[in-house]
Amino acid sequence: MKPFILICSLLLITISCKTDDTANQETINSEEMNEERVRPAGEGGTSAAYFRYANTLSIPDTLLSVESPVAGMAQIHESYETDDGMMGMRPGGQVILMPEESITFQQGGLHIMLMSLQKDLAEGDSVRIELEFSQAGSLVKMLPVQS
Amino acid sequence: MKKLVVLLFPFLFLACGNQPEVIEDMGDASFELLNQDSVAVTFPDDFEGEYVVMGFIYTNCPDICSLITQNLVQIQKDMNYPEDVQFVAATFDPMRDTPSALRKYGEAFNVGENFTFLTGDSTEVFALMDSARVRSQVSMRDTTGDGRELYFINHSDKIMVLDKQARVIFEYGGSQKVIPTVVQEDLNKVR
Repeated sequence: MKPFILICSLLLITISCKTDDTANQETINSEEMNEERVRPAGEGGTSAAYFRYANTLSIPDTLLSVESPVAGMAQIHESYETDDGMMGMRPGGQVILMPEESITFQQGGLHIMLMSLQKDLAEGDSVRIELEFSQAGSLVKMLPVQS
Repeated sequence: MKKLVVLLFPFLFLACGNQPEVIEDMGDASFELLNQDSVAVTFPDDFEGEYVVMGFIYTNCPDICSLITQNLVQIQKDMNYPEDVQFVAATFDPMRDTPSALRKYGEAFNVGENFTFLTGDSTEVFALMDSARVRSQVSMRDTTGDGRELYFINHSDKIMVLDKQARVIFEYGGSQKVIPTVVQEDLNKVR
């Protein structure tokens, strides 16, 4: 066997034997994140609310505002990957739902940020989330605090 | 020809064996930090001789960083709280993440023993981040109704494993759902 062929063969085997690092890059399964809850957090800190909402009306609807008595400020935020590979958050933009369309606020994606918390949120507590829609009007979600 | 085979064989053995490639040797580094109880910690010196599973977070990020923290907690739980593995979460927001803020954050995640949060002087914290190749950059700023300033941070999404000589031997996307399983499998290969 010529040395060149031997070297190439060994290098190919070497590459094929490397550990499967690509398995580390598996993406988040959004279906597994579909739990309705608010994350535990301390007073003054930041938490997030996750839930699903469906527009059951026969006309489009727009989410106008979100509030919670436990938070100094509540906003729709979105986690995203920046162009240079970092993770960040940005305002989620306007939420418009077509008839029968639903939206999932979930970990790692679009979520309700609860900032400047007025009290500790511990497991077992319940948090009131107030949503104002242009057509459906006011709606309240009571979510359990769960890590 | 025989010499060539002899020279290449160890290379092949290493690639196919259980010895992972060293990504970064932090053994010569030393960072003076504080843990969640305000006790001085020298990293990585105080952890040498043990494996370390380490993530990078800031507590005002309840979404991606909570996934990273959740993964660290899950790995520790899945491994039945191993005594030879330390779990560390270091903040890249030392201005807000004081020891008491980190302690409160840890309580929300029910962290167990052998779980250390690290913060400290900004210079030391960011030197650690540089060494661990963790990037962070203040992005969005906002003000609450009561006039409180808020800011958010774009950051690397990372969990890494250090061996007993403080060498980084594995790195992962820290918030990914599959990480607890993968880290456990990798640790079991080298422990």
